Amino acid sequence: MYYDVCIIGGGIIGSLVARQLSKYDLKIAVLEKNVDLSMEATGANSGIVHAGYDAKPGSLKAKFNVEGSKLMEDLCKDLDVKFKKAGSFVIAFNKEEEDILESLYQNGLKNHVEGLSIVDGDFVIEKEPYINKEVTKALYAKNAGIVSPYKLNFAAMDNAILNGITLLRETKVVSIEKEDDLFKVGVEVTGHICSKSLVDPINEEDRKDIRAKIIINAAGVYSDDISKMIGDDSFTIIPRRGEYILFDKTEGHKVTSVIFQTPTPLGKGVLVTATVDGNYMIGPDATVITEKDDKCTNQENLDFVYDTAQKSFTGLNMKKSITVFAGIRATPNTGDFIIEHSKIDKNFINLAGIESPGLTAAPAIALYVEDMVKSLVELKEKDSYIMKLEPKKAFNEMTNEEKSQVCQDDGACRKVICRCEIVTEKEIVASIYAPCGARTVDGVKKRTRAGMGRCQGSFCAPQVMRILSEHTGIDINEISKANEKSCLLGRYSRD
Amino acid sequence: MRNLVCWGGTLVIREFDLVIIGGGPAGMAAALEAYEQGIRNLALLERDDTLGGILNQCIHNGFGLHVFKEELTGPEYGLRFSELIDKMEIEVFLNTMVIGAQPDKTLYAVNPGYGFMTIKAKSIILAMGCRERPRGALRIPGTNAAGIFTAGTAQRFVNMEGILPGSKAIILGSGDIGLIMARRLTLEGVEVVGVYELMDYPGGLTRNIVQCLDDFDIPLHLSTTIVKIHGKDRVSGVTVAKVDENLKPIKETEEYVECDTILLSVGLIPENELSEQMGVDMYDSTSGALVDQDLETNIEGVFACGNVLHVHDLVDYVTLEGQHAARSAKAYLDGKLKDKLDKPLLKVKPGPGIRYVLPQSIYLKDKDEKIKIFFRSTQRFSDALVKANINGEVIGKRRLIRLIPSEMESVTLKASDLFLYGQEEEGENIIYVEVEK
Repeated sequence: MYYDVCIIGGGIIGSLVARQLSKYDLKIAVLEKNVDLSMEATGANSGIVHAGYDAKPGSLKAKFNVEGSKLMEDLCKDLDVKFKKAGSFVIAFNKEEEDILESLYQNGLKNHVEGLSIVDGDFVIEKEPYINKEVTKALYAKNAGIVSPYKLNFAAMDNAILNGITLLRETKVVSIEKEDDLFKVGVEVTGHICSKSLVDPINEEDRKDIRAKIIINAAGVYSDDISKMIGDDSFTIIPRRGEYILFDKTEGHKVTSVIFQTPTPLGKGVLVTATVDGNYMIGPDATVITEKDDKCTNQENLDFVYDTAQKSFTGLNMKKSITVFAGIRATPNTGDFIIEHSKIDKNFINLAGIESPGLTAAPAIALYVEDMVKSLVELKEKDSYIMKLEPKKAFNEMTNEEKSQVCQDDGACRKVICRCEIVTEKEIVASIYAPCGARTVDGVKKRTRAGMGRCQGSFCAPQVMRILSEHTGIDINEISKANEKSCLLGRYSRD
Repeated sequence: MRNLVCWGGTLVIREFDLVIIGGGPAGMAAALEAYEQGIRNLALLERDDTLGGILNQCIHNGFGLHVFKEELTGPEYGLRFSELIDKMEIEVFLNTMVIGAQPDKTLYAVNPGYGFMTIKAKSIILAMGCRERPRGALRIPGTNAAGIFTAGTAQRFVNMEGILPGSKAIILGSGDIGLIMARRLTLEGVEVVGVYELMDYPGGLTRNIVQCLDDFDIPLHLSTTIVKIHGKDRVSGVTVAKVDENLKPIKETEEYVECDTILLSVGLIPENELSEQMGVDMYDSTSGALVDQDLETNIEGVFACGNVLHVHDLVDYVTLEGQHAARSAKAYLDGKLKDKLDKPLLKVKPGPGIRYVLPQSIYLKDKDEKIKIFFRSTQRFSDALVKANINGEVIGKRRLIRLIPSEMESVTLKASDLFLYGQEEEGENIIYVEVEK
């Protein structure tokens, strides 16, 4: 199949670029090696929309961070994704740390960050009562925000698919060759969940003999491997892992903003942040790892996160932690984002090394890539571009009046499947039929929050599996957690 | 049914004298007893499609020895109650999820027939049961692979859906469900490699250790825990280690155990989110409500019983507690609990060697009243003398040949012994239950 543009990787960068380009008359495919989006860096990070004071002035990180943070609120509005302008603090406990705040503040001014101020300890304590009361000063960024990175990822892809792009999941790029001005993309099928599904099964024609005029490498932690396929080894990615501890919603009132510690030469410290869904979390550490998919959590790192968070926050109640997780960051060896036409071939665009503040920068990077593509091919706008997704309010977030109304209108709303997060059967079914629909238990969880709560799916997993099986037509024995190999039941059962 | 037209739809409002939240053993017992006591305008709310709660998946026997003097399976035990409920005019709402609760005893629920319901109750019995502690709450490090189940989820798969969770399992924690599942999986042909318990004593009942592990040659490793979970997609094994007296893993004792399935039986957590929403005061040691000897919470007319109040060892005790709550609800509806606030109040607290006590307060109303204080110990004791003291005076004691945290015990106090202290202004008037060394 021929494509004008092949985007490798369906994470936050790939999906927002796909959405941005989908307004043009282009044939676009997104190749995603996993069965779902948000299974790499996008799925597990701090979810912060950074203000942009800490990137080095003049760097791409600084440029895209500041631009992206201004775009985020409207983008979230368009895509019906929750965004909260929570504000962020970098807190100081002594004179040396206050000096660092001052230099961060000055740096922020150089980066043209708006809404920055140095505030005194009482201001912070009033906003965050559980903070360590010894706080003396803080750098307050009132425009910093929080967002669910995976919800934004799914929404961007849903939007792109509605505008006609093709998403090929469980499709891993293994080779790229240039033949007659076109890239020939060799792929390996990593699983069969998406092809077996009765809901939007993959059309095998779409991934047969893939040729592309332009390739956009948004392969995250694997972007150096992809770049090497065309002989561009100008950068390498050093995978780093960060571990987090998430707390129950009943604890969520303890944190309303993002609380950073003052960076030291030893590291950035550990942050305490509210989440848009009403939980709060602490983390991450930063461990360089050798294997790119080593998402293991480790006792010593979790202990480090806990001990370090305690320095800034007095509200930790470990009895109320509901899960721990690890995320991988694609740290580039160049020290800055790599956003450029490859020197080997200008039709090959690298979007690599997008570590923090990558989530914040993503909307601005997508706009920039639009211009990069414009420089390669002539772009014609579609007549029927859909820019916004229909707003859908989660049942749990409705008022009693609204709940009453939707229960009147639709019987499927009356069956609550996830008791911790109050998720209805209707919402779970809807997540399966979304343009980029859920195919796994984790996929349903990230889209609907069923299983995200305090019991972590102990009660609802059997029900979610039943619903997935009923609608996708995949046998319940083959319903899996995260990918074809993480089958929950059948394959491991005795016959 | 009273229908009010509101915001363009039909608003369903129901009013009851007593609403029982949860149709498991506690709620069913409470409903029947309430009916026996003469409460007629009564509703039982259950989120599942049948009554019985977790009993329905407990197909093993051993239920009912105290209440019925015979050995029943879980579903049989449940049927003894649900069949009676069916015969009486108790309004049962199945598939009904209570999604909100207010201090004025207004509940919000969704139900397939009525949709969104507002329920106004004169009194409420909380009987929501408990949930299992998941992996995340334990913060066991390692991969996020498939194949990690709480024992109860696995039990549901095997006994209700007829699907096995894996082929080679280890069980972390020796709670009763874990022990029962060790036997159940073995009978179904799953290899159970072993049960690993952090503490130096088992979490479950002795009879389950004997009948579920010993009889099947399944090893129980005490003072041992999982320190890491391996396997990228599906669990491939775990690293286990012995722990020292501070429960810290000892590095040198680490050992790799191959398995594709991990069952967690590491404690139950009362499901009190609704109670907390309502404003019920909680007791940290049980994660349940603070109650007096009527099982009444700080909110007048709101009672709690069963595993939502504190986690029980046997369903029989849950049943008795459910009945107790129903009798109290009846007394409340008859106006007999009204002057409670004017009566002398004594606090009950755990002393040395005791983890929790229940009830946590006693008010003095009737000199002939006998008050049972339930308690669990903090550790294992052999030949323990448990005493209840107030201002240094012993008012109750019990000698126990064996006292372990996994088996709940009780000591009975006579109200007549307490009246003296209730009147006194001096002293702290706190009853301490403690283990004498």
